[in-house]
Amino acid sequence: MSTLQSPKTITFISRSTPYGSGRAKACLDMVLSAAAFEQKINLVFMDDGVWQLQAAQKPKSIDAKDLSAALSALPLFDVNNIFAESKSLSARDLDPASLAIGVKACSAEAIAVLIRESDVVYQL
Amino acid sequence: MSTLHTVNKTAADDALAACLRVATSGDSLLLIEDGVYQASTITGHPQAQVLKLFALKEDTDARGISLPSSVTPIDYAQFVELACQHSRSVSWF
Amino acid sequence: MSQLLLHNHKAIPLDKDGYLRCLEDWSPEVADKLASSESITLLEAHWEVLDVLREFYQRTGLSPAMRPLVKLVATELGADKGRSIYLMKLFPGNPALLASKLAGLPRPTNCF
Repeated sequence: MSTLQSPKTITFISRSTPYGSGRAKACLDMVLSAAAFEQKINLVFMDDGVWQLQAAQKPKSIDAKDLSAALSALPLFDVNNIFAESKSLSARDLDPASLAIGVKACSAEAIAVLIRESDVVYQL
Repeated sequence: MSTLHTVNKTAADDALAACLRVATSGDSLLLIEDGVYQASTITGHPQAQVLKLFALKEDTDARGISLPSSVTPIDYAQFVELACQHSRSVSWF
Repeated sequence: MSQLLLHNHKAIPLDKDGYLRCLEDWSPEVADKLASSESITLLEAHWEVLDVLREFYQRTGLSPAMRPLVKLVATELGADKGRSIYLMKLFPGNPALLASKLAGLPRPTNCF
């Protein structure tokens, strides 16, 4: 797919649980769309969004698709800048080393820098 | 370079707290819809001191909310102006 | 609504673009029938790509568009096959759309 304009830096801030609403899935779909158009993408998990990274999800039991499995395929879509806010992880007793996918744990200050360096920011 | 943040949730949601963690000096924060219920408490927040604070007048009027002096009331036309004055906007909803 | 008729007279419902409505309806026979409606005869080279796609979809729930498809095939079947020209020969026109259709996957999002 050809890109007509120079790519934009787009930061997605995902702050919702994976199965409690459609927001986490919507965020992933937006990330995949932006990736298809070869934009420069940052994906940031904050607050309850870090629950998307919980290991060993088996959402078949609630007839849902495994969101963490889809997240694990993001490098294939050239989405490699994936972050999780350390404070949000520790507040939920999540160990950055034992998540479903590899993410860079980062501070709120680092997220502030990502926002400043972005053309567009989506939060959902 | 600065960012316009909009928040439309009450304190029952952690949207404002998340916004305040990543908003930086010179950014603007606009409270809209149910976000205006946080107008009086936000001024005590240390991170809010470095931000320019606004609330959408239509939404405060509708809810009978009066604003502290540090929060500037703006209307929809000024909302548009504000958005144009910033490099990007983030909707914390 | 269009449909695909199998040899046992079972009718398989398709959407307006010719994709399976129910992904559980997929079988090798369905793939063969869908392929012949696109004037393609499925050979070993096609099947291994379809297998890769089906496995990927089962694992991730995603239908890859062209670029990720090329990378996926390169990873699973080797660099000589993970090239757009190779996939274009197998699935002429738009390989991502065509291969996902024959593999019984949903239409890849954002692939036109």
